[in-house]
Amino acid sequence: MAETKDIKASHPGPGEVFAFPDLVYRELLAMIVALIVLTIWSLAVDAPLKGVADPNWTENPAKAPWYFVGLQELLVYFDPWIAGVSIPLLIILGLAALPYLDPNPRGVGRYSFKERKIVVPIFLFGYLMWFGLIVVGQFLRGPNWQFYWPWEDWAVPKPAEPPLVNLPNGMGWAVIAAYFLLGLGLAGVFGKGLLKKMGWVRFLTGWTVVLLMFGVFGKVLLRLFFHVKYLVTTPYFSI
Amino acid sequence: MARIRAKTTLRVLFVVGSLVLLGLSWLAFREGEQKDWKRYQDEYQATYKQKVSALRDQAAKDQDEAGLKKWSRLLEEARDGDGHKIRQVFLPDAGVRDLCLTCHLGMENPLFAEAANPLRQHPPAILKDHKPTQFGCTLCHHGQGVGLTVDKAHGFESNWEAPRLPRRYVQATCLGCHETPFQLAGAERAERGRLLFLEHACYGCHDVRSLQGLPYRSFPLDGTGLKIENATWLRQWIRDPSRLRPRTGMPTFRLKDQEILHLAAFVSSRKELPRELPPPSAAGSVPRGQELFTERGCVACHSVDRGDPGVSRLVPNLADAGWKLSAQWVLAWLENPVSLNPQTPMPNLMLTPEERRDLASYLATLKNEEAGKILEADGLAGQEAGDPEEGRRLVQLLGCYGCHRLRDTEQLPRPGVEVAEVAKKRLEELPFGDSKVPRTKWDWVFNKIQKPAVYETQDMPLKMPDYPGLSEEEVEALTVFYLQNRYYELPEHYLARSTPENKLAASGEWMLDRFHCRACHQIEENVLPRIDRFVSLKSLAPPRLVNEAERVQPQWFFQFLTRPVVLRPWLKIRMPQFNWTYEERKNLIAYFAGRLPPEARKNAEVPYVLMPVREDYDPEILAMGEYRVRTDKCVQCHPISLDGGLPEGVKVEDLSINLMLSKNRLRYEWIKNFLRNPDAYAGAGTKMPFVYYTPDGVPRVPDPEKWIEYSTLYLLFMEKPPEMPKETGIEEIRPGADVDWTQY
Amino acid sequence: MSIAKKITESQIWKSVFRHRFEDTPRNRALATVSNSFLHLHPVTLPESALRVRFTFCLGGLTFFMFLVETVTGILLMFYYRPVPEYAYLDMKLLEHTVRFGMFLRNLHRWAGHAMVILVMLHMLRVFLTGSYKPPREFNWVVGVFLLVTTLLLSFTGYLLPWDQIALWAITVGTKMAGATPFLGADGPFHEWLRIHPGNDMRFLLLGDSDVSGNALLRFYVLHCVLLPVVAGVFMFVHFWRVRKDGGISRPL
Repeated sequence: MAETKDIKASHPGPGEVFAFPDLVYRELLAMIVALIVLTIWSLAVDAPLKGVADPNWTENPAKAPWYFVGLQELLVYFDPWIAGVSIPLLIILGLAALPYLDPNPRGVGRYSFKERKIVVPIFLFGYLMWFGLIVVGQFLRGPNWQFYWPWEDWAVPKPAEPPLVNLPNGMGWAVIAAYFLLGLGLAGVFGKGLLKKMGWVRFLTGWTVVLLMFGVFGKVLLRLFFHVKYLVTTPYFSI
Repeated sequence: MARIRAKTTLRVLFVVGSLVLLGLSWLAFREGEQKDWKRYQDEYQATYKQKVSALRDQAAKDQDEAGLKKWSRLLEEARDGDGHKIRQVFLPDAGVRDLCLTCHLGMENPLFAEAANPLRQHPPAILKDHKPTQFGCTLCHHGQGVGLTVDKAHGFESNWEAPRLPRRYVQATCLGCHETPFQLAGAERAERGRLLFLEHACYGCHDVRSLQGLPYRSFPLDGTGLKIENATWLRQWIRDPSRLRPRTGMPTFRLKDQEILHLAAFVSSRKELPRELPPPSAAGSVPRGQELFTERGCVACHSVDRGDPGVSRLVPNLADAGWKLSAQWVLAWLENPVSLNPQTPMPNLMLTPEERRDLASYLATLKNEEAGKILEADGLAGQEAGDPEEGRRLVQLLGCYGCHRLRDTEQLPRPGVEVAEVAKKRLEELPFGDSKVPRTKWDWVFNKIQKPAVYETQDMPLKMPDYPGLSEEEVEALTVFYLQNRYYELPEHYLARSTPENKLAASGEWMLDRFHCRACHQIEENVLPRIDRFVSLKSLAPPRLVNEAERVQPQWFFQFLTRPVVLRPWLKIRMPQFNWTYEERKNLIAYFAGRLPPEARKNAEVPYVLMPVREDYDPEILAMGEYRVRTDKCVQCHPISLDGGLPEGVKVEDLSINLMLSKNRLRYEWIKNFLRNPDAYAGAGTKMPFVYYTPDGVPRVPDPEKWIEYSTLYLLFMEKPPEMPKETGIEEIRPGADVDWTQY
Repeated sequence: MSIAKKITESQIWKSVFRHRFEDTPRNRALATVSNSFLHLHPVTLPESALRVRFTFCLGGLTFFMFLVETVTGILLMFYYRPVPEYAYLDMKLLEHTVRFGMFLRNLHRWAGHAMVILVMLHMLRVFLTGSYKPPREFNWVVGVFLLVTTLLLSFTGYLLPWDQIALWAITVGTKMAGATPFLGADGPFHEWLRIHPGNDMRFLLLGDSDVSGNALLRFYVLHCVLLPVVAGVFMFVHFWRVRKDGGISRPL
């Protein structure tokens, strides 16, 4: 039989255990628990099914699946080419590039904030904003994408939003430029030698992406509190 | 040696977890059970076998060989059975997936005619043309179809838009495939709804795609200021029409006093008639006017009695005409109604000026007491006069211009919602307001028609007026019509488009209804005209028009409908002149031809007919015909001269039409048929005798067919009245007295 | 010999289970190594890696959900046809007439949502434990691909019931594709490449300028064939990489 030759009874070293049964059994238990939860949920709650698809009857509100509804919420603050295309792409690319943009080698294999004081807040901010947008879009938006608290009746229409202003283009570009320059500058100055550690390419890429992320939040605030719709308006695109 | 085992806690958790999973699986298993439909199938099989056994035993007892064989065979087949099967009708092109037959097993089985649902037999007549395998069930009944419990299959689920219709509304769906319910067997309710829709002129406010180009229902507002001079009458009318004239077609708007005053002021200010009114004339003779009212046939349509409705809702009751109408307007109206309202159905009775004066005087005396009391209790006279501009605004808001033409409003959209729009609406779009009406589409429509303000709320004021004259049965019929007046997106092969004959018949019926032909004429064998109630003598009533297309030549018919001429001088009542277009007249004639039973149609071709040509026949034949006509004393009852006046000494009820008219008026085949059997062709009870045959078809003269033909040809070709026999009066002409018998 | 012994000494048994079950290190090792499914695991591993409160089994459970989805998905495929005339009614038939049909559908749907949530939580866990740092950088990238694939799987499956939720959710979702710069008919600069609704990104996704039968079929194939295969391939790489990068991360 083939198995006898290559097994030199690999005894577990110090602090080690055999995968079978310890790991495998735990995995099995996890699966059973997951299955129980899934079964209970499937018995209790039915998957929704509305009337047959009718292209002539628009649902109001027409919501994307919950994991995209955050992006749909962003449509309030940005044009579709930003909210629907650019931001998702940047999220994916930013996430994929994360290991290469994080110059800090510490904190592997354990939960630690102290060793990773920069990257953890940044990531968590983005993560929470993502889920925050989902919560708003899924639970707090009603017909015509108006804001409704969960207890409010969707049949009662909401008053129109106060009119929005667009910043004059010069001012808009200035704001954008100032924001990035300031952001990058601050990162470089207070970054404790980040620039040297990362090199120009990584520094610029990483911090631009981070600044864009905060910028999304900033624009949301601008819209909510200052009723700004566009910073920059051109015939081809607007930001 | 011990086997490989994980830690004890983990193993305990594993056991517990597995047990929980097992328990949950059992729960899931329980949910998956479906019992109802299997129970119904068992019940059906058992009952079926029972019934067939009983029938077989009966057949054996009755010594019925064939029956015994049949029932035994069926019993054998039933014993084999199928087990439990789901039966489906799947029509992907119609979006139909019906599992109904799974429970409704006795649907096509006559043995289950009296069974309880769901095993009961479906009424078989309609299934002949609508096989379940071709149409499914939900196309007609709505409901979900794809379900195996009662609630799911019948579609009472929030995500199914069309739950099963209650039986009283099931005809609504006929209109999904059939273009019109007119003459559609099984859709009588829908047709009733359609007719009610037309009768109450709902189309004035609610557009319907299938009914386009319909006339305004009532008198134009533009001239009403000159028509109604009595401001009190006008106010009371606007306030509550059915109180003033029960059974009127005008609905009751819910108006405040001030609004009534504004509207009345506006209407009174509209004094633009298409023509000048004649100057006031001297008073005519009221008793003569009353006579004329019956004599000239007004009584056929109009009633002067408040309690007695006229021939239809469209025709005003004249009990309070004296209160309402201005005298000059009445004179102009009687002279030529179309000159005041081009779309009125009232014809021109071609009255002389004296007759008009007399009638107008008579009408002015019609001041019904009850109406008078209502006018007395007006109470609005003292108030500030209304503002005509406000009135105009109200007219546009309330939609009066939907029934009453008003200048500058023809292009305005209809004030009500198009019928198809409501039919297409989803349940969530129908506004129920604060009402307690059950949340179904049919209840919404029914309650809306019955009480239009039922869904009114603060934010949504409703303007549709009340129709107090509608009975519950009528409201249901209208609901049936309303629910499905749209075109399904079904593939073409499901649709049953109207044939041209059908369309023609519908428009013909519409004309007969609108112009109230049946008020004066009998057109169906079993429907007597209204005028019979007022004119006792049949001879003084307008002629019978049963199967008229078979009788008269189409060109003559056309001419007569356009410009009626005197056919029977002793009749006071005259065919009036209607304001019809060429198309309308043509279609009416074609409609009459289409009404004939198929066998008769070959003798009733429209629009052209070939009459016999004189040159085809020997002069001898005409001479024989003349002889026959003379000897049969036709002239006794039928005047034969156009200018010789009526035969003397003859009672009116024995008189009949001038025979010189036959050549241009009557069809050749019809005359022959008539001579063969007068009762069949002029109605039982006709005074025309059976000359050539007895009522049983036994010949009374030798060679009756030959003589019939000769007489007919003579009638068609005679140039002048035949020479009368020497005797005058009703003396018998001795047969053969002056005929040279050697010739025959 | 007892019955048990007879069975476990038979040729059939021994050809299937190539090791004994007595508690010897050798057997424990063989149990892992000689099993087609289990031999992805290391034979031994540090005890610290077993701590539930470290990984919360998130990655494993995500994979488990994927398996649940595959099984329930295949069962669902017996009842569903991705054509507009059939799709919705097939769903209704499934719910109302197929035994356990509603339960099956529920399992599939909730497991799908669970998978999305679990994969996002797994990402968070991996981040917070710094398990993306060298040598595990590329595995993180593969993980991001898996995240995207999971989201796409869920999105393509969302359309299949062909009800109002499905239609409008996908309409909203794909409208964004139409807003792609240069390649979307509603995006900026689309005229430069002569893009119009008949040939833009959205059309590529949907097979039509609107969500229609073409989109349904396309999404069905993506959902049932292409994306699962892609996910499978990436998972293969992902799990392999975990082993090769030294197993679950732990303090260096």
